[in-house]
Amino acid sequence: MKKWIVLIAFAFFIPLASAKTYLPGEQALLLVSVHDWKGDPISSAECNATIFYPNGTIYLHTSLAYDSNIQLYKASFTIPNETGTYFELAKCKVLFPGNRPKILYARSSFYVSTGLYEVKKQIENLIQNATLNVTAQINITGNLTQAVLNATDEIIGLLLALHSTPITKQYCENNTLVIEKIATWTINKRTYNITKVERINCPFGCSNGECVNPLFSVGILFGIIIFIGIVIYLVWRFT
Amino acid sequence: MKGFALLTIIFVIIGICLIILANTLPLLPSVKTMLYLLSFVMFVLFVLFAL
Repeated sequence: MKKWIVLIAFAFFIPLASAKTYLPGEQALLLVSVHDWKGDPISSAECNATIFYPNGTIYLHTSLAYDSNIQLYKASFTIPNETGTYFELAKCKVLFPGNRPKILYARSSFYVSTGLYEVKKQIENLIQNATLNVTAQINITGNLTQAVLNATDEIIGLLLALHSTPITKQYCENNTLVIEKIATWTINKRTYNITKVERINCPFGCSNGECVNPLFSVGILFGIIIFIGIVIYLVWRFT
Repeated sequence: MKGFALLTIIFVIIGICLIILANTLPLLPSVKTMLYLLSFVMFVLFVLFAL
């Protein structure tokens, strides 16, 4: 999914800028809007954009193509892996009446963070002073970015525990009870499905999606036998 | 005569209930087998009473 970074350059005003947070490796779209004083888009401008690393060195320098459908200048790029605040600078050369060239600037910034940081932030927002210990085996499904994948299983376990995910499916595998939980996790406006699988060893066997309790089994058997006896006796007695 | 008819119906109902219980409750395999056997007995009794 493409994220939009919007830089708006007004012909006579300081451009507006918006800053957002992105994960490394995401596809982003750089958009620049060039308007005249009436608000009409200018399609004949020559626009370039430069993205700077947090340390000030250039990450990307590219020209922007005008899209007549959205009436904006745009260029797509990949969010770099290095975390920190990135600075964007768009430069558009516009010809004013009388062929007088004028260069307009638009500036903005965005923040690149690791999945780990975003997860931590979300967890901190959800709970405070809680200690969770999730050691179950966890499988990940969905198109998580590498950054989030590197964020280790504990975080995913924490998220699942935090959300108190209800059991989605449980079944028996020989003498092991398998419990599956699926949680949805929304990060950076994207939703991921996270599947957690717990395996519980049943000492007395597993049946019909639950661990067998010998006392319960024997109790049920005796209860049924007694019930049948009573029913037959009553029918026999009163007819 | 009325008692036999009633028992016939009861045996069928109990037989069906036993199969449902054996398939839904987490029971020991031996107990499960017992329930299936009991339900079989119930159906046999049903046939006998019906005749």
